[in-house]
Amino acid sequence: MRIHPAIAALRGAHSSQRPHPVEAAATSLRQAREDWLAQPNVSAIGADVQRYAAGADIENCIALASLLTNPAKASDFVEAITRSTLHAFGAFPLGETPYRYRVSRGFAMIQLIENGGATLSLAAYEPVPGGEAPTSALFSDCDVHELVLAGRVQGVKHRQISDGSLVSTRQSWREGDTLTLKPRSEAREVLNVEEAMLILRLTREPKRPAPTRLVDLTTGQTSRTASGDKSASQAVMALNVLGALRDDGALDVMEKTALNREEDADLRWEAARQALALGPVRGLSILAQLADRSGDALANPARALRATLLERQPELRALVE
Amino acid sequence: MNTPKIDLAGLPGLESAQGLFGSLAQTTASYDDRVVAIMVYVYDVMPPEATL
Repeated sequence: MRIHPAIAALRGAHSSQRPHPVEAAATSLRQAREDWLAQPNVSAIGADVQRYAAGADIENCIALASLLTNPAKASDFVEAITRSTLHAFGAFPLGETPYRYRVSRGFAMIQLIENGGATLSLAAYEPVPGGEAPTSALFSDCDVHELVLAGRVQGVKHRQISDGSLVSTRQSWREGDTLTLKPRSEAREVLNVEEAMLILRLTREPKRPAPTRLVDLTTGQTSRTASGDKSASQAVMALNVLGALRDDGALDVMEKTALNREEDADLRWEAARQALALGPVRGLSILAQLADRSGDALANPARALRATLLERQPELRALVE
Repeated sequence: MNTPKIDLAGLPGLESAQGLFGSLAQTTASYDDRVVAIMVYVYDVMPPEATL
């Protein structure tokens, strides 16, 4: 097996070596990020991102609005970050970037500044062969402002109008173009990249985002929905883990979650399901409490499930009497 | 006395159930550039600094 000398050096570094090369790389890259964030024009934008996240109109976030409409300013902004980061990577090629990033086929994205639901990121699209004509569009509960810094692409913008039908327009985007999308009712998709495209993108999501919808382009009907609320989905997964651990102590949390009307309905229902499987007595009591509530979206499903369970497993009747 | 058990797999989801955050994919999309991404999960739970 051949091991690159740089990796061999990292692996060979003694744990007592101070600073450890991995730590030195992380420190250097973090420092580059902090230096960049501390630059006056960047910190003004950071403050605007915070203001925008808190609900301000983009027009009232002067530094941010001018960044997203002025290609020369935006290019300088991006160049400053690439310069400082690349400099740090020059010294530590195996360092891990301190920015959140994501890479998939033909697409790469890096989050530059994130604050309370508002995110400024840089995204790159490269030409990829093939690609079928899309049959659906994805609508998210998210404000989007984009500025194309380089490249040329063909795409489509979708707008769902009040009667539910879709209006789709083919568009081409090139250097200097801006694009804005309204939450829930507008979406766009890149179809064909003629020249690699780099965009600066500002997004804003509400604290409790509405579900993301996959809409069929021919019928205009929503074919699938997914939660737009990341924390609720994380809590659903956590409940599954608690349930799998089979620890009765988790029943309190499950009951509290299931009965809390403030929580997401899917999350509350999952709490009730997990409680039923973990402790049938407690679970059935949760179902009974939910079933008795007026105006609770879970009342009917709880009543139905309770009836089904008692019919399917008559032995459960002893637990509720 | 043996307490009766309820099988989790036999308990239905809500009729209005949604997929988990980030679970929607457009199979025909040329570019998977959804704003939401599974990556965000990994880093939210485990920021890069903490992995060192």
